[in-house]
Amino acid sequence: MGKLVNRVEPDLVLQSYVVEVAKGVTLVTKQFLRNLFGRKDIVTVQYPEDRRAYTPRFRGKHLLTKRDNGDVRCVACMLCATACPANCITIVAAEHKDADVEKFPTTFEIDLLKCIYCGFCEEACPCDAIRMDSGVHTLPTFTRRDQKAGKINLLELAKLSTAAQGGEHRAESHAGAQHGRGGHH
Amino acid sequence: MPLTGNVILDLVLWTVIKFAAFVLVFVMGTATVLTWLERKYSAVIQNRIGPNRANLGAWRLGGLLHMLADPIKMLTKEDFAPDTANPWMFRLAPLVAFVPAMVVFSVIPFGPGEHMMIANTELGILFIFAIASLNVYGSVMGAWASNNKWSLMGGLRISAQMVSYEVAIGLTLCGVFMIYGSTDLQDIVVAQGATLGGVLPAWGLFTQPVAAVLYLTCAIAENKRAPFDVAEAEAELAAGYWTEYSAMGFAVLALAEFVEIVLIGCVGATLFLGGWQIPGVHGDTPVIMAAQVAAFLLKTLFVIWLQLTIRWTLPRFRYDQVMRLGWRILLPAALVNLVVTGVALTWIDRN
Amino acid sequence: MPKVTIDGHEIEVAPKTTILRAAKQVGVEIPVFCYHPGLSIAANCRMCLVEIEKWPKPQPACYTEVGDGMVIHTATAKVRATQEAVLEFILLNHPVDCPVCDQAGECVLQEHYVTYSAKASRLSHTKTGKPKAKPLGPTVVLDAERCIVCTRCVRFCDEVTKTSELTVEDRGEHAEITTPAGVELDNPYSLNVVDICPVGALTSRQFRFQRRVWFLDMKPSVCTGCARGCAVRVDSHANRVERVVPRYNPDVNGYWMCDAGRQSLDGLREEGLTSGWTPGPNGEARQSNAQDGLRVVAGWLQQARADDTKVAVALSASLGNEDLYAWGRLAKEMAADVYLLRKPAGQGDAVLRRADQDCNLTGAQAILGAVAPNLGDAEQLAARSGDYGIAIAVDPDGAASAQVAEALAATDRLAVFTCVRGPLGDGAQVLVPLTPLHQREATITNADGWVQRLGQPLKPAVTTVAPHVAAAALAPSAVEVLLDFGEKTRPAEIFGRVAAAVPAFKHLTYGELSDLGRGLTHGGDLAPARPRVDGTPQWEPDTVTPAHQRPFQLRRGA
Repeated sequence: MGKLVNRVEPDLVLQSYVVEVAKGVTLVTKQFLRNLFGRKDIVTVQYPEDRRAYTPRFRGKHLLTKRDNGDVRCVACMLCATACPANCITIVAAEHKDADVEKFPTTFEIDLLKCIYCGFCEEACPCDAIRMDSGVHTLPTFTRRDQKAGKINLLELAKLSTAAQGGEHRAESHAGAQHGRGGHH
Repeated sequence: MPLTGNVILDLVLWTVIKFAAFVLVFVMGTATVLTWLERKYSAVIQNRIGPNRANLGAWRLGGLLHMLADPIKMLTKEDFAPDTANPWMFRLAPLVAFVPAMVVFSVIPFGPGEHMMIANTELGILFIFAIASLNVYGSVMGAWASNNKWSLMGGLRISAQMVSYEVAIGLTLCGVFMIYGSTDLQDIVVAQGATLGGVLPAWGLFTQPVAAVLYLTCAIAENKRAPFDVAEAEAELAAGYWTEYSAMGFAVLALAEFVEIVLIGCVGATLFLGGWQIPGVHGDTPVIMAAQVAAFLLKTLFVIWLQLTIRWTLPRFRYDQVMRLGWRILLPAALVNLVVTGVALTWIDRN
Repeated sequence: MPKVTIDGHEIEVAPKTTILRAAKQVGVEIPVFCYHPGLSIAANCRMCLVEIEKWPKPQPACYTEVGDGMVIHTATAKVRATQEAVLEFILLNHPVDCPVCDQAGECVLQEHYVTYSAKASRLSHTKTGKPKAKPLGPTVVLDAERCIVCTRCVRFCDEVTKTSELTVEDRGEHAEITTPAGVELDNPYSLNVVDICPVGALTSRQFRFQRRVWFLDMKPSVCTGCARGCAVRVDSHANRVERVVPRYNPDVNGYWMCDAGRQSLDGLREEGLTSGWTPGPNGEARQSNAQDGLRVVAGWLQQARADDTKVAVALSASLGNEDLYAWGRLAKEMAADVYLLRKPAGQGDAVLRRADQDCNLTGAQAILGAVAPNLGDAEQLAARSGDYGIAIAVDPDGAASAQVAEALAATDRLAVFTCVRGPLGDGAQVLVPLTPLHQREATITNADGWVQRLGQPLKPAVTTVAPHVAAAALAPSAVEVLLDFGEKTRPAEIFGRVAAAVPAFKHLTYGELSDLGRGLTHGGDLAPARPRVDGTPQWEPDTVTPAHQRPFQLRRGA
């Protein structure tokens, strides 16, 4: 059953427009006078001077979090690249000197021109390594090349994140692993 | 009066002074202010702030300086014309639209007496019709010369719409001539100094109320403004007939529109609001005359305000609705009004 | 013939059949870790335990042979509880580092866990630590923590290569795969242990961390490294070979392939030759694509026809059957002499590798013998090189020896069709880039006369030309008779002509070669098809379909 819409069958008075136009003009004038002299309903934000606060869930430019020793936390599992619907993440993995860490990204590149800021990458990340809580807008640049955010760039933004950085990998991976298995239910 | 050199000089001098005072100062001034006012007014209506950024150092003056900033911008930016446009017609069109709108002010009586108008001619309202109709050529020329599909369609809409409403507005005003028995605007204003039954001033609004409504509707449609702005209809036709215009070409076309707003205000005040007449005030002392000139200007501003408010109140008609309104409602209504006026006048004469 | 009932399905099977195989025959799947059809049965993972009526305890299906009247249940509560317990036990010390594990996505443990357990770990202690990223040899790296000690790899080295490099050290949760002191896992088949490892414990050094498996484009193909022609699956990403794994073919390679074969296909990583050269106006070499090269060679052949110049055509024995047929036909129309180019012999062994490195020698001999009357060996060319005004060599991967290259270069004009730069091509006036075998449709015949399709796992470069297309393109202008197939003809149609013209091929059709291939007719001097590799009855290959390629099923609800 559809929604009932009450349509007004226009009579002669309505069709002559005169009364309706007069009503409209009165309404508009009232609002004009109110905004001019009375309570102001102005909603405009004077942008460069005044800014609206972003919500904590705002997805800004990506960042890569760090370990205690400043190394990248990412283990190059490529789950972000797998989850990415825009195919904008390029990771080249390599053997880490610490066998417990095992794998780390030598290249971690996000093509911000392709990125749609959906946040699937941070959802997919098992290490909380990639996050989007920098609060930074992706700004325009003069070349396409500059829109590729590399590992260094992403790590620099880590300080803007609200996440706790660091964490000892081994313990973390085990705790995370057990949590992960429990999470399968 | 023999046309000696002194008389001619006198005539020319007076004409120039009157033209400067009325057309350059009042009309152009109002039109210029309107470019800012329209944006600011609509902003306040719509809970916005509107233009407020142009400044002289610390002074923003509520954005009033946009009136100055815009012409500077328009004069300095690139005046672009499409390669495929007809160069002569393209450049000529804004002038063809603008000049007639300016010329018709010469027959508007802005005060009492034969000197309070630039050209004292008996043609009066007929002159206005004759000249103001030329305005359509400017827009259509520009539309055609742009060599752009959207512009051309906008131009087609203008020609159809303006021709249609020209008929209705002409028939509407016939009722006014019949009542006051003259096409000379000064005569009409003088006649409006009488009263109806000693109470109501004999303004066109009261003697011809239907004509007043029809006039305002047709005039807005003539001027291609909302709710009748299907000629630019940005949602369908990019910007319609002025899509290809930029810089001063565009500015002149836009200014022509604002000048016409003032024109509609002047004619409306003259025909329907008693012109310079102030009810109950008669005499020819300079103070009274000055007050009457002021009354005329105020009445003009009222009609201008009405036009702005209607524009920001009503949504745009669909094009077929515009044409149906013109031919099937306004034209018959004007004809009925004419017949009723004629019958009423005959009846009054008989009695 | 014992009759058994498995989950209500009654079936009569051969005596000595195991429950697992009988179940497979009726379509009941029993999960396994340690069982591999190409290896002996260890029954140590206990994942395949099933319940047999009147038997006191669940029995391993992989090991227990059926008896007449046996009633077997594979999905009772007891079996489920057993499977869950086995999985919990196996996963007790498993690091569950799936995100960094290369096996994730094709891991048997992952699959079975999701299908048969999906329970959280109850372990509150620290897990047993074991060596990670431990090199076992030049090709294989071990992560002992992930290992479930199924001993497939140990059995492979004991039974297939008989080199026994791997062994299990320690007991219980400390059990660990390792090599005895001073021994490395270094045999010609070592990478097979990576393929058969059900988890991510054994990884290939070359493929390790290169690409997650779900990004791979997996296409069936055939190895062209030697005359064995092992059936393989080529896993590529963005038209680049990432990994080559053996594909089950009981008549050719069973479950295995050699490391050298994988490396020969890894060669496809490098960009092949995409441009050649033609002589410019002043005789200098000018870079050009296949089209330009063909135009010049066609001009030569036209002239040769007019002034009766002798033409020599040297064909590699590593070309496809269709290519050889097309070039053989062209040579016949031109009355050219055909020489067969062969690669130097490599090392063969009793497992799979053949000393003969030409992947299509059998096919070349059969086809050229039938269509090209003047067939000679390339070694004879040196003595006769003076006879020829024009020589054309079709040698995709540089098979010609330096001596042959020299003899060919001694002719007036030499055109070389190849995929690689080498001494032969460098001496040529015209070099035409060829499309490599794995970038086009083709068939090859292995040393045992088994014909298989290559399946085009990769896309070709547009500037190259396939050899059969080149032959068809050269034919009309040169000899004024159109080869009865045109340039646009697909290998499938040419193969039909091969079957019509060559007696050994006469019963074959292109379509029926698609999966495992077919053998040539036994007769003439062709060897009979060799006995099946592992001697076991043929049944479905035991490879795990990657999770993303099959519908997700959770057998027991969460």
